[in-house]
Amino acid sequence: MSEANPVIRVRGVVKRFGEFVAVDRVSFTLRKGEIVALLGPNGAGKTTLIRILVGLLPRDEGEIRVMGVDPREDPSRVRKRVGYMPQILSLYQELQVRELLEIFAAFHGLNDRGRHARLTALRQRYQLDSWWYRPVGDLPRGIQQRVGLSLALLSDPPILLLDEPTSGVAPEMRKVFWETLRAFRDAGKALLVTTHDLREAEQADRILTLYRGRVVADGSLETLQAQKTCRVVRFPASLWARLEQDPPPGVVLPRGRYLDVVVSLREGEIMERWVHRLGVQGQEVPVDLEHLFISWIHA
Amino acid sequence: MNVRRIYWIAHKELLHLRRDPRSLFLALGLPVLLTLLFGWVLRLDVRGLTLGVVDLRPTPESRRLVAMLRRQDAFAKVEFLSAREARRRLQTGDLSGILWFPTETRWPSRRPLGVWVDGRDPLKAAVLMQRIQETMGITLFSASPRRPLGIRIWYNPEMKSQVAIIPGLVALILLLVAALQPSIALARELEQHTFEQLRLTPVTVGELLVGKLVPYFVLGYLETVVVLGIALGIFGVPMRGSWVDLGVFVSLFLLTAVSLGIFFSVITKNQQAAMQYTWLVTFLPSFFLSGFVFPLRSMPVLLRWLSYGIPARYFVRALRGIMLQGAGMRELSGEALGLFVLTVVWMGVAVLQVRRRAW
Repeated sequence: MSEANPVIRVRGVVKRFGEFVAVDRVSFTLRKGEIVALLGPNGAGKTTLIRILVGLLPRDEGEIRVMGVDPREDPSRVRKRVGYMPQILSLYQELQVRELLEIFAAFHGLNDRGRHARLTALRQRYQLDSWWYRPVGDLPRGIQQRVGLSLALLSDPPILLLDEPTSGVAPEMRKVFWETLRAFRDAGKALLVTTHDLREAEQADRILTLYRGRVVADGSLETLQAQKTCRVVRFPASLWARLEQDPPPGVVLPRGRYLDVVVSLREGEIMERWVHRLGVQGQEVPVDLEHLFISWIHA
Repeated sequence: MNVRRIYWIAHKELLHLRRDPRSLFLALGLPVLLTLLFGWVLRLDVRGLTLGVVDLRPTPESRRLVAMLRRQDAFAKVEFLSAREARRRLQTGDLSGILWFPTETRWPSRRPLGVWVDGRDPLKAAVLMQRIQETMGITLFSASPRRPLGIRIWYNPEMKSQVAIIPGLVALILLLVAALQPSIALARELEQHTFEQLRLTPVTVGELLVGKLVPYFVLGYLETVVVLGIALGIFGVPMRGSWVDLGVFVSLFLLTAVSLGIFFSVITKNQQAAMQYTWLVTFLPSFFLSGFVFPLRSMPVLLRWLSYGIPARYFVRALRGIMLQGAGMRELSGEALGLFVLTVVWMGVAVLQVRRRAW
């Protein structure tokens, strides 16, 4: 699969639940050796989109190819190529970690020898030794996440779709988790990781932002920042009361001792007039992902 | 006690009821259904008796006796038959009894009237004998010299009610266990979303269903052995027929029961609701409409028609036939066909519903 030939190609996908449009004409691609963060607030359509990709939900419109296969037509073939870790991990609570992984490895068609080798590798990589014979229901949340990731990796799939994989995981473990994801990418896997955490999204190679079911931005952090879709002017936080009396254009983002006012480029003139009226000179600061995200949503 | 808080709690409960059609059905539909069902089915008076009359040389007296029997509510049918046909229909359970008039050479005669009774249902058998005796008492047959009755009770000569009830009970117990267990197990998977983990593997829906079915089928067989062991060993129920025939019927019945369990789990996707529905839609109709306790012939036509869709109807008859009278596949071909059709239908429905609603 070459760089130009994506492992996942999505074109104009629509998903409705009654009148509500959860995914609205979404198009994007995912390539081999790439981590794409699917960023968006709650209800943006991230989970719905990822469930459509893996064939758990049917789409209403559009076209999807996962390594050339339509998940609607042949979900079983797609699932052989995709490892999916759902947002809410629903593991068989009464099974031991070893039993769970062994059974699911068999579902993926691994023979005795293959199963043994795969389970040993996962057990070592995710430090599951001390939990190996414990029922899954007894495991802490972080360990369950590791078991969930191990399940997604059982068939050593070339594509990984991870839905909020670090939610509820301690910060130090998140760092380790992302190191693992980068190792997968370096090994040639393609990863689509949903998150609503901007710092996590920054670690991806590309950020695909969804808002109300639509793609509002797609590109690497550098590319998005270079697009100059907004301006940010920083003021001291002590100005808050005056800002309430005379609200600025755009969106105000509290940042500790400062207040960042994020405005679109179209609102530049209004902004100048507002600064003049306020009589306090703000400081233009570089745009970061949070500013961009606010500007996309505000737009 | 704060009245406002009580009002809001009641308001919340009403909202739950309104939003959950299953609860609403249980609250409103179920009482109606149960009242109708109990009202129609729970009758202690025996009706629907069928009597075959074998009378090679009819006399005015025999005709008068038959005419009086026909006028009684307890009898659904009193018909003249050949001896061979009457025997055959008694064996299949189509007749409750046979009245034999001996060929008279002279009149008045003191030769006994033969009465053959199907003892598989002791209550029906007792009422049949009582009605014949009473009717004879008010006909010309009562004229002296009084004619005795030569009664012969078939299949359950001691008229032990346990012998009649236990094979039916076996069917109900098996149905309950074989349908409830997979129903709760699959509903739990759907409720806890572990089913989704299975969907993410290359496992096909056919593999999943067969894999789910096999353990419960084997468990059902073990339960059958235990229950039949108790029936034979402790309650003295005879086993006059073939174990192979019994095995065939048990297999078909277990397959239907497991399919029903899978069906209800998929349409409810909730353990509690799956349990309630499996109980309501399998156990109760089987109890009332299988002919296990209440004779089907005493019921309104609508319920009799409904009973054709109840797997236990065929299984109870087959169990009684095989165990009590030694009937084979030939005699029970109707029951085998009925149960086979229901097995195929319910398995098909279960597969379609899993595909449509859960896969």
